[in-house]
Amino acid sequence: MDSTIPVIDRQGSMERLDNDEELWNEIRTIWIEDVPQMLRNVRDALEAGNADGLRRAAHALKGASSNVGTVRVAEQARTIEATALEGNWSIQAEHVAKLGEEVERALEVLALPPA
Amino acid sequence: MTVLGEAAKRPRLLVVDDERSNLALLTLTLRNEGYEVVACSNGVDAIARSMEQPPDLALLDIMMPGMDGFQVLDRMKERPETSRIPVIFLSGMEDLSSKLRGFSLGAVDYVTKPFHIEELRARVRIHLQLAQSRRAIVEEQSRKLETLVEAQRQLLRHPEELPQARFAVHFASREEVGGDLYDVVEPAAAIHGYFVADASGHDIGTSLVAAGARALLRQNASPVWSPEQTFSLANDALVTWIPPGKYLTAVYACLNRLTGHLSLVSAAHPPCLVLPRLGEPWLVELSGDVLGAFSGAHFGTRDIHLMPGDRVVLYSDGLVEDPDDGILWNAGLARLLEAARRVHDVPLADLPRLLAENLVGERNTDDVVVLAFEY
Repeated sequence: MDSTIPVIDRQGSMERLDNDEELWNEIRTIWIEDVPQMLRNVRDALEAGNADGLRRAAHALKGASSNVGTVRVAEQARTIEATALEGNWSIQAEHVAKLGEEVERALEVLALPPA
Repeated sequence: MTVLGEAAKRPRLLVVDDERSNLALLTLTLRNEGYEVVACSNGVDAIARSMEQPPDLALLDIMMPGMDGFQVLDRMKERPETSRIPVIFLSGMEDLSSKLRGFSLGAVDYVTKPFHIEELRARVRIHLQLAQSRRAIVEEQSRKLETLVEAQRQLLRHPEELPQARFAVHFASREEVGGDLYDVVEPAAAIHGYFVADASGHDIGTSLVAAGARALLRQNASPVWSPEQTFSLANDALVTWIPPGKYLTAVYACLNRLTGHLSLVSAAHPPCLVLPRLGEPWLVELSGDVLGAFSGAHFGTRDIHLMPGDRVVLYSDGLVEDPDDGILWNAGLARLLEAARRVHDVPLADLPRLLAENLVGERNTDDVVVLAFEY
C-alpha cells in the first residue's frame, strides 16, 4: 500500500460530514465499538474458506472505515473485497494479516485526543 | 395548493443499511435536517416498516446480508402502497452495471459511498420536491376530471324536467371517467327520443367520447331525420374526431306519442326490453355496427307499435354482463327476462332501480345505466 496514505484522513472525513464534529465523534465511537467484530467476520470467512463471505465482510469494513476516515483500513479492505473471489487463499491470508495491523494502528490513532 | 397541515407535516424517510456507522450517519444527518427518519438494518424490516406507514422517500443500501437492496426495491414495486415511493440507492459499489440495474428497477437516484452529506441532503431534498410536484400534478388532473364528470352529470336529463316523456332512470357510475350515458330529447311535440350508449374504455377519452356523442345526438335528433339517419349523421361526425380505438355501442328509441309508433335503432348494443302492460316481456334484438369506428356504418333498425301502458327499457351491458363471473349477454338476457317478470307491476319511477338491484345487486362491476319509458 502507498506509504503516503495516512492512517486517518480526518480532513477528508470532516469535509464529507460538513465539518460536523459531533457527527464525526458519533461515527468514530461506533467504529471503535464495531471494528473488532468486523475484523472477526473477515478472519472467520478466511478460515472457513468462504470467498463470498470474505468479500462481504471486507465490503462492510471498507464502508465503515471510509466514513470515519480510517483510509488505510478502507484501502486494505477494498483490496480484499476486489480479490476475494479469486480464491487465492495464501494471498488473502497476507491481506487479512495486513488488515489486522492497519486496524490496530487506526485504533491507536483514533484513541488519541484530537490534534 | 398545499393546506397548512400538509405543509407542516415532516417528510418521513426510510433509511436502510446493515452497517451501523452508515445507518447512524444517515439517521443523524437527515434528522438534523428536520426529517422524520425510520432506520432499518435489513431488508425484511425495511419492507415491513414501509408497509406499516409508507415513507415519502427511501434510501437503500445495496449490499446487505439476506435481502439485498435490489430485492427490497423489487418487493416495494410489487405493492401499490409502496410502489410509488422514490428510492435512492446507496452503495460503495461504483460499477456502472449495479447503477443501471438500480435505475432499471425503478430507483430515482444513486449515491456512491462514502458520500458527502451535503450531496446527500441535496439529493434527498430534490427528490422529495419532485415527488411532491408529481403528486400536485396528479391532484390537479384529478380535480379537472371531477369537474368534467360533474359537468357531465349536470347535463343529465332528470325525469322531472321532461315529465311528458314519462321516463325513469337508474345511473350508477363505477369510476370518475365512466363511459355510460343516456339522454332524453324532444325533437317535436309528442315525439320523444331515448338514448343509451356505452363508450369503450374507462379513461378521460371515454368520458369525452360519451359527452361528444350526446351532443351530436341532441343536434341531430329532429323530425327531419329518421332515427337511423340520426345515427348515421352522428357516426360520420364522431369518426372525424374520436380517438383511435374508441367507439360506442348505442341504442336510440324514438316514440311518437300520438300514434304509439316506436322506431328503434341500435349500434351493436344489447337488446331492448319491452314490457307490455298485458303480456310477457320480450327482447328486441337488433344487429348493427358500432358507432364512431368507421364512416358508412350500418345500424340495426326495428319499428314496433306500443299500446298505452307498455314500457320499454334501454340499458347498458353492465346490467346483463358480469365479466368476473363469465356471464355474458346470452345468459344475462335470460336473467333479464326473469327479473322483468318480477318487476312487471312496479311504478315506473322504481322500475330501473329495481331491475338493477335484481340483476347487479352489490356486484357493481361496471357502469350501469337503465332507462325505462312508458307509452
